[in-house]
Amino acid sequence: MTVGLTHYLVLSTLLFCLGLFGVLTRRNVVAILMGIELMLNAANINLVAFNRYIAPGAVAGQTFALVIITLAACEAAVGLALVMAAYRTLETIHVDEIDVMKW
Amino acid sequence: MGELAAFIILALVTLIPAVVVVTSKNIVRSALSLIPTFLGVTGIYILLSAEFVAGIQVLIYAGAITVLILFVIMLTEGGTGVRVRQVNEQVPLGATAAVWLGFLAGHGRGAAGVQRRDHRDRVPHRLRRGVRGHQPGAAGLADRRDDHRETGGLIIR
Repeated sequence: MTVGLTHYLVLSTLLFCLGLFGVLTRRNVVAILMGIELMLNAANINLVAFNRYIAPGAVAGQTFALVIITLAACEAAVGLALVMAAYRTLETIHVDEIDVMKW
Repeated sequence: MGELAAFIILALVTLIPAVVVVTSKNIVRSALSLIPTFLGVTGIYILLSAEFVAGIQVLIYAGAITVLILFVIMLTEGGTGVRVRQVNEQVPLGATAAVWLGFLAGHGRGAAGVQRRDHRDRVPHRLRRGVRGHQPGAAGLADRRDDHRETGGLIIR
């Protein structure tokens, strides 16, 4: 039995579901960002696997994966800077306690 | 056979620390569990013969992002956060959403599949078969579509 595209897609689905669970259930903003990183990794696995099995000669899938990795790094830097700013003013990083914009 | 064993080991190295990431009460432990997850994904990239992406993954994810997350944890929480409740009231809802998404992807019966089936039903029969009857290349196209279907239920039919 060889490893096919389905194996990678199943792995990517499981990783995405774990990231979604983390995003929906954690209170800590940093933990939510970790869940987002897991989901972005799952998308990257999908892109590279489709590149390998559907279009082996092209490198478009790997290029997309590189773009997503760069975007994830930028998003983590900006998001964690926002976390630091929120902690300085509100003294908490729990999302259910940051409700200053709620009516 | 060796490739399958490597894939299974790498998938376990990826998924087990990912479970720790989303469930651990200790926020530092969950940040450190990100590292084996990212390294497992790196191994998956090497299995997929995408070595450059694997190198970038090690540099950016396992190197930069993990260190950034650890710095922010140490600058904000003032500890590991084990005495604080780490999950909100949406745990059943989140678990339901995650399982439902996995079920949906496994069966491939998303909204796109429903729309496509409706569209196919709406097309008249004579247009579906082509105006001139048999067209060269149509059989090859159908074969290719069947190949896509055989790759598993994950592709939306």
